[in-house]
Amino acid sequence: MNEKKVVPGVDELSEAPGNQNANFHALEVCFVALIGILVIAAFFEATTYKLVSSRTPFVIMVPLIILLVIQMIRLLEVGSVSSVTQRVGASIKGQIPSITKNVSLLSWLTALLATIVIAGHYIGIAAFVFVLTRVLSREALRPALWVTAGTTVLLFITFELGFDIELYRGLIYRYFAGYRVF
Amino acid sequence: MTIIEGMTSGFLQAISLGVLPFLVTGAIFGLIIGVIPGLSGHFAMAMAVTFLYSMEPAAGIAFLLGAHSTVAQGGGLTAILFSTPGTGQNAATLLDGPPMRDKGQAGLAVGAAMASCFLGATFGAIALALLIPVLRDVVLFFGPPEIFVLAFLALTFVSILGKEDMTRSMIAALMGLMLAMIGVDNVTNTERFTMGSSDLADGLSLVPAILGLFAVAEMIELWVRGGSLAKDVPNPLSGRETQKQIFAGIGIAFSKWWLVLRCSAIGTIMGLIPGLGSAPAAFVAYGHAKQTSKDKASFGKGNIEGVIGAESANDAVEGGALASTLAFGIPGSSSMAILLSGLFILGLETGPQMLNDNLDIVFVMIFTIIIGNLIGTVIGMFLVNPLSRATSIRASYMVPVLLAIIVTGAYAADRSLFDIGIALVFGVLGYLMKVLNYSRAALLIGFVLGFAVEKNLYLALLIDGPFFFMEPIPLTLTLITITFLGVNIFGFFRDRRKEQS
Repeated sequence: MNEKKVVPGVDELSEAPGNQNANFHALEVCFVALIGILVIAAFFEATTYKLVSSRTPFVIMVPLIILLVIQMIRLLEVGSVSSVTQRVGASIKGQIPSITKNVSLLSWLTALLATIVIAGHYIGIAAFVFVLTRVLSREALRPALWVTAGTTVLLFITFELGFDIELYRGLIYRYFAGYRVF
Repeated sequence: MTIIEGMTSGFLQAISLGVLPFLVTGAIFGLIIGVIPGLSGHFAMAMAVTFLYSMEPAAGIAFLLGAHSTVAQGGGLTAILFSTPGTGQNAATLLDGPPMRDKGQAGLAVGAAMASCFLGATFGAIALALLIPVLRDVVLFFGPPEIFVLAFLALTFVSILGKEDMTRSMIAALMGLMLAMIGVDNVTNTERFTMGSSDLADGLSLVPAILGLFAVAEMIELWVRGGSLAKDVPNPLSGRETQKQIFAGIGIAFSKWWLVLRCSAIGTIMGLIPGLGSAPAAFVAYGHAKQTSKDKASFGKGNIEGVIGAESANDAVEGGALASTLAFGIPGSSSMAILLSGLFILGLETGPQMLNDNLDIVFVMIFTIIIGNLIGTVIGMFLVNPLSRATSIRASYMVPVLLAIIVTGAYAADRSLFDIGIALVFGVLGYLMKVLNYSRAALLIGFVLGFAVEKNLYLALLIDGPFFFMEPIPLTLTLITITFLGVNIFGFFRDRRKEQS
């Protein structure tokens, strides 16, 4: 993917095939850097453990750090740091559509999790499915409602009736049901 | 348990009313997932694994393997009808399937592909059954030092032989091992990398991690891509004509039994090697079919032997892959890693215990593969047209519905909201790994093997001291690992020098 030299221009932040390499390159640099930071943090954390507990993590982390450094060198050989910062800036400003779409979906997934915690599984799922089909994808109202209702009923039948698994009812329900441990 | 006892018990369990409905459901589920381009066999298994908690072992295995075994059949169908392989393993079918469709022989190609899948899977399953007596003896030579070194050999193979870049795959494998270190260390009872969270004390749960890596990641990709999953069928045939051709195609696959046998053997042998997987096996088998054909020129232009060769090898891989997974607990692919996780969930242990005490379960797997593929073939024979309609479902409907099921599945595994968070985090990780060409299979295998690696390293050091790898079997395996790694690193630098010059 990154074998060719990546030289982005100012107006090359779109999703055209030629520019995708540069976008992926920037994304990978950030990915490797993030993994690197996490592994180094874990390395220092492991130094506080007993020898037996830290032995295997060290056996894994030493080659992992070496490989991450090699990969970062490879990445910086095929693309410049300025290209990476330029694209990171563009994605933060919402100029790269695929990243914006990704971030939007992830935000809705996080909202789904928060809704499940507060209002319960069924309300969270129904709201999520409706938002994605109707609001984000602009599907017609009636099919969106059918899909929302169908999915919620399917989950109830499969999990509650089929597998006898009670799905989470949410903090509000549990509070009024008398629970004080959530 | 003797082999005859295990076989009888396994067969009776596989066709019992407590197991067969799960097998049929799994097979239909796998077929539908296989038909939909973008959803892989890993996706089918990741989804199926969430339901295992409330199942008996035989039923759970039948459901899981039933889903897995029919995915390739569904994928072959779309490769032929839409020129879009439902799964990566059907890529070789693209070479001759679509040209046959363009010649008005779509039904013939579908029939031959489905029958070849069934025959290949049956061959692989029989090969696995025949390997059991050998594996039972071999596995006794494998103690902690051997398993530890074997795990690294498998990870090396997966990293190097996979379709992804070698350095990225090795990073992924080590990341997987590292993720397995999270939680309480079983030897010293020390909490490691938990950041004080009690939810992480038992380590990262397997089910949400699998769901995230394979299911959520696919959904994110599908959402970003958007639109409909496949175009209309070019040159569609009437229902009756398709049906007629399908039966004729099945007949041709059976008449080419010698080709099916050879290509299935290629698939089974390649399945034994960790990391190779179905796609390369299908291409090698395709190459073999072309090489040995009297009509080489027509390959790539719609030769039915091309379809038969690729599809029979495709499914025969599973028999070989299962052998190493069950005998040593070392999965060679992400599907096998998910299967291994499923076995853990069902309370089953691989290795000598599986091959001696739970031999009936091994035969349940063998019969599940055969019966699952038979179900897939029968359904495919009669429901080609309705099945192909699944590809026209728009991502705007499919993604929300499947994400809702995935999130619920992540919660249901342990009734933990924290697990939903894990599935989402792993979803992002899986998506990034997919678009950046990092091997998710290597990460999952590393993650699944992490516990075994640490336990066996501890025991190996305890039993044989720091030079445990100097024993004959570990030494041989270590030398194979180093040689294999060395040759590939040398090849990597040689290619790079060539490119630069």
